[in-house]
Amino acid sequence: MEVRPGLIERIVLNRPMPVTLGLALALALALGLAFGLAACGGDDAAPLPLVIEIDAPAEPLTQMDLVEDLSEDVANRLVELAAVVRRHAWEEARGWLTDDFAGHALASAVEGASEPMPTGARRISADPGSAAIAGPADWLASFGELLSIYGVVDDVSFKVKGAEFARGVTPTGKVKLKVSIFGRGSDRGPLSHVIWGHVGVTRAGGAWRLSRFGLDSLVRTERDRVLLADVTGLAGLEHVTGIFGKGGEADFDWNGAASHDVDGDGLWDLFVPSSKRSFLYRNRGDGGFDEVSAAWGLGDEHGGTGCVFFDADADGDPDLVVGHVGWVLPDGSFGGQPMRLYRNDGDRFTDVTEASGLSGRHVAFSLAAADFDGNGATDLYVCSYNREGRISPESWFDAGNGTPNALYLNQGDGTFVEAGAERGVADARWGYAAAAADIDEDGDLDLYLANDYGDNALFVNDGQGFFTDRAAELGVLDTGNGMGTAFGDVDTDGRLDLYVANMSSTAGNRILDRLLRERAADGGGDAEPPAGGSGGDDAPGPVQIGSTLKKLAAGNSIFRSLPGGGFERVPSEMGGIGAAWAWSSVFLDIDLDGAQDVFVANGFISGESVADT
Amino acid sequence: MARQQAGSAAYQDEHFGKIFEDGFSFSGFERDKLFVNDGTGRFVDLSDVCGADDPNDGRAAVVFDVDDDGDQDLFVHNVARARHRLYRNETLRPVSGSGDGATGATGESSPGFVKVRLRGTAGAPDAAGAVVRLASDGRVAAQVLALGSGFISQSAPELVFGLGARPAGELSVTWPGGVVESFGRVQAGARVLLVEGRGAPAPFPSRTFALRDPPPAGLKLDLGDVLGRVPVADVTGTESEFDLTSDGETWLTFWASWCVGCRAEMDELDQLDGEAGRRVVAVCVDVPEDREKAAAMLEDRGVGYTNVFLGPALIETVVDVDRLALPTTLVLGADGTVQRIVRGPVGR
Repeated sequence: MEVRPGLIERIVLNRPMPVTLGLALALALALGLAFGLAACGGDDAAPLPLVIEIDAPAEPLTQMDLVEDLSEDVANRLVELAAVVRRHAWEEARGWLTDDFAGHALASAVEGASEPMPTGARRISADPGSAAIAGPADWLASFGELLSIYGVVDDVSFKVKGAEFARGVTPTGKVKLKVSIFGRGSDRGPLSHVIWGHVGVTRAGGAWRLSRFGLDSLVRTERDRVLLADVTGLAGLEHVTGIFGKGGEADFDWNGAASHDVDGDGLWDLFVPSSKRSFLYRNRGDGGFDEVSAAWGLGDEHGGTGCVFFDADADGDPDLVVGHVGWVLPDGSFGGQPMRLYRNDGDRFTDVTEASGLSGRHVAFSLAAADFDGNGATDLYVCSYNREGRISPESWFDAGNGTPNALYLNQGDGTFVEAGAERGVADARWGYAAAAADIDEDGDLDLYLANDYGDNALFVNDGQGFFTDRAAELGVLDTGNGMGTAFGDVDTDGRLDLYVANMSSTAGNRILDRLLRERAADGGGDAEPPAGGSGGDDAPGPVQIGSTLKKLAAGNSIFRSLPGGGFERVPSEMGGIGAAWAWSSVFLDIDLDGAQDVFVANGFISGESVADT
Repeated sequence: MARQQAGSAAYQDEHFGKIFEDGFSFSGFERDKLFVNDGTGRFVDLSDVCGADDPNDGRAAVVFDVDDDGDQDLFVHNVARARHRLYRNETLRPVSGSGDGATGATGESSPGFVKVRLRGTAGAPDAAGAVVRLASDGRVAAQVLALGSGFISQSAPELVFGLGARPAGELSVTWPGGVVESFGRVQAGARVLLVEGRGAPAPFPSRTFALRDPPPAGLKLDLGDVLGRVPVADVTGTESEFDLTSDGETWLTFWASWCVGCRAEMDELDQLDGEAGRRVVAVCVDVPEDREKAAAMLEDRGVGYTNVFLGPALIETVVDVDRLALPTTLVLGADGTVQRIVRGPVGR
């Protein structure tokens, strides 16, 4: 079977990967499952159990795709419950519980001491063993009590983190559940609860209901005030468009941003490209911004993907390169749009793309500027992806059919010559992001490249601007769907470490957990994630497919630079990697304590419905 | 239900259709993350309480000190819905009484910072890739000047070093080309331009400016707006008009029976009602099936002020009930002008 993973395969991460990897899994099934009506038993007066026991099914369903369908079914049913809970509509919420429901009452769990967190935040854990057992009405009332300290609940989410279902005509199952509650207390301080539990579920009357709830942990986090206040509206930056997929809003991997002082007034301005148009926000110095893209010559109706400011002509002000999606057609002609170089003229920008030689067609996303060949002029590296949706990557983690990345060498006068292949950096593994730094401290600038469908590259500069990929020997291959990268000093030892943002998803992790468990039970493959380390992540062989799969869904990576050179993966216990479908990752010192913190933009596509496909 | 193979065109079309036409999500509503370093290299997930954990789909993220107050602000570009988000870092913000979640006494001295801008002379003027190190108290923090990093993002070319409570630090730069240059000791609060080869920092002027607080989330009006006759509901849901203009002040308080903070302010509101020509009008936002419970609660508490229930018209014009934090009180002048907004229980 020919496998052509593309956008849709990443959307349904769980399904194609085993196929891609040639695992013997029967995915194409035509199953008829009779959903009988469950007998409704018990009533409110039914005696409560002394302990909450939820047995795993004795004869579990093993068809993985069917299990995943049922998991999603339960997850989507719980999405509706979240909305009901948020409205404090507890009578309505009864419809989600069976009449003989019993569970640990959330508010009855005794809270322990407040644990101090960085920035003065506080975390309070409750003892799950202390929770009382309640019937349906009391359990919901206790849920309400838990929420009563909120002045507003901004969001409640129920996520299915694992599930097993029984065979048979009455669908029942055991679900591992994460409940997250976000909001603000009455005093307006930010407040959240994260609750882990196991629930018994049963499908009755055409809808999934909870029959048991067993509390595993309950943690409250709070702070007196937010660290970051949303001032978008006050600053005049509000820009609202429709739901993704509606009204032509389908630029799911565009939407860049760059900051520089375009007018030399000492304040940081902001350029914000997207597929429909771009914005140049001039900082007025009073808290507001003026949108001046048209007056400054940046009103290009084609917008742009990524962008970067640098002084291309060495005249002391920042010029601007805007990335675009362009391609070469089979007959040699061009489609799409080229990147553009705009020269800063002090009070407006002038398009000098053609004269500068920066007019190649690339599927350009991230741009990284630095003087790579040491001639005293800033060069430009272009991460060139491919036309996703039109071209499919030939492999999930070893695709070479992206369009090659480009290196534009500045000739010293603001004109550029493309030399990516000659210089050894024309990587074609669907590059999404790159960052420059001197990682071997030999005086020249090296380049780390995050590839979506291939291992990442660490291009080491020979001092003349010729590069060799040494990611494997330096321990930073980071197999996985790389989306973003940045250098920063995570351990305050004076050396630059590396952060890589990757793609992972709840559904993918759920599937992989189950897959690896099954493979381990079969004695095939290794169920542990790769240790990483200075030896690097080995290329996937048959034995390591399990660990590779796990790595693909593991989340972000942090690599600590070692005194003798090279990197080692920071163990996951050190935190900082648990994002989901991660994109831009940036270092900042949010609380000015001298240690670098990390912010990660997160999430793939939020549609009109909270339900996943 | 017949199923298709994962790689088939029909399968792709089905799932594309679900997202692009039917509005489904995939890995949607995943909140942006803030991992705070505890100083040892261990990261603590404080996303939930950071104020910038937007569930929209983030792409670019840019760090810049937009108000030049010394702490780093953040801009995030989302794929859909509210596309542009500007977050003001509250670390160095003076304590104010009106911020929504931005209030609170710190009582501690503010952490120090050093801001660094760079200019290359031997190499390219941008000095991209230069590494600045700040040493203080035996620790050395390194930052690189990146022109492009993250994903399709470029943060402002200015490095901000936190000093915590330390009064000063030693600055050095490794310029592109490998030359290491010391710039000596700088004090907390310094804003310096480091020019390659100069050996001494050149201060640059501050452009700090004060910013007002954003209005409360979920409130569809702001100070100075006028509320006259508004439609409200009674306990049965029947709507009628209520006149918010009067001879004196009206305290219009939004509350719910489930809300601990709302119950806490009831006695205070009851005392304020009728004092100095002032009246209190409570608007209960409970779901309809809880209205009787709310009315009974007021009766039990012996509350004397007027209570009405939220009808659709108020939701249209005054509050987004899903986003407004409770309790929130609008202090209206005699003509119905919003003169003050009290966030949280009154009387504190």
